[in-house]
Amino acid sequence: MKMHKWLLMLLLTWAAGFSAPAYAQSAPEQGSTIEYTSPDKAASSPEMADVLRRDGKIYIVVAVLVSVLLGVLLYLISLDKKIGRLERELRQ
Amino acid sequence: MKLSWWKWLTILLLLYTVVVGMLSEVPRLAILNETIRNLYFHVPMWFGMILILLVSVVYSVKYLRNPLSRNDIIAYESAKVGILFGVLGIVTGMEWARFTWGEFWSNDPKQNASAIGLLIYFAYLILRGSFQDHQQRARISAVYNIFAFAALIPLLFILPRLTDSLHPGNGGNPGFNSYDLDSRLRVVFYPAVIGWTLLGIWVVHLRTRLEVLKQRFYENA
Repeated sequence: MKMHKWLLMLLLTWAAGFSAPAYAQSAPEQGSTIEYTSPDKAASSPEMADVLRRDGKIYIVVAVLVSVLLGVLLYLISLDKKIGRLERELRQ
Repeated sequence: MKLSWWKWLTILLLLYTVVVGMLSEVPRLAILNETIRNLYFHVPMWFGMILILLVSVVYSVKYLRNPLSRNDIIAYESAKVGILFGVLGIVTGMEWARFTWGEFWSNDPKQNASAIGLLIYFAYLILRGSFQDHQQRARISAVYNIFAFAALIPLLFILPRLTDSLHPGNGGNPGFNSYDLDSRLRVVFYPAVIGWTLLGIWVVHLRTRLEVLKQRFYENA
């Protein structure tokens, strides 16, 4: 069990390290979107929850994809458990 | 949850693929546009198919050397998952081709060759279904499986490169084109290949256990 946790930790740091340059490259673009909503414009229009509507609403698609993927994976996990239970029953 | 480490790895890699694959910066190219992100979803289907079919061949050879029914089950189940990946690969390829090449099916060498490859594997399933005797079925289909894999490799990786193909990385140009090799793409592409392949292995693992259970159940009953 302990080794698995260590492996997971390693993986997480690895994934974070990999994704960092990708985000760094998209940083200037984010800067331009901030310029677009310039301070005087922000002052004139009321504040809204715009985070998920940024960049052509791509974040919504990402959320949908993650949900679908998680659904399928959870289904696989439950199948895995059911088969495991059957295996234990047959062994007894 | 008690899951083995490689299943956690699968989940992690796939989530990484979807999130970073959709949000990261990619090369801006004409015609391809954002569809270049299909590299993270369409191409891993084929890589996964080849790797899972390789597992199938290895277990077919193992069966011929040592006729355990477990070897036959793994060979059969991984062949089925490999075929599923291949079908998903061809469908996603067609969807993409409609908007980049203009047609769902333009009789491109790559498309035709992969269709032939899949047909060879469909024949494997039919062949398996046509035997009554378990041992005969296992042995003959194991031999066929080896030939099928040997035919698939030139169909997918050699023949389309000998002629002109619209498919990226083909048409006299071995390996990936320079734009496919972009390091920003690789950062997601390799984890995506590992993640999707592991997902297939996970399904093979489940189906194999289910089949083994079934056999033991009927032996006891």
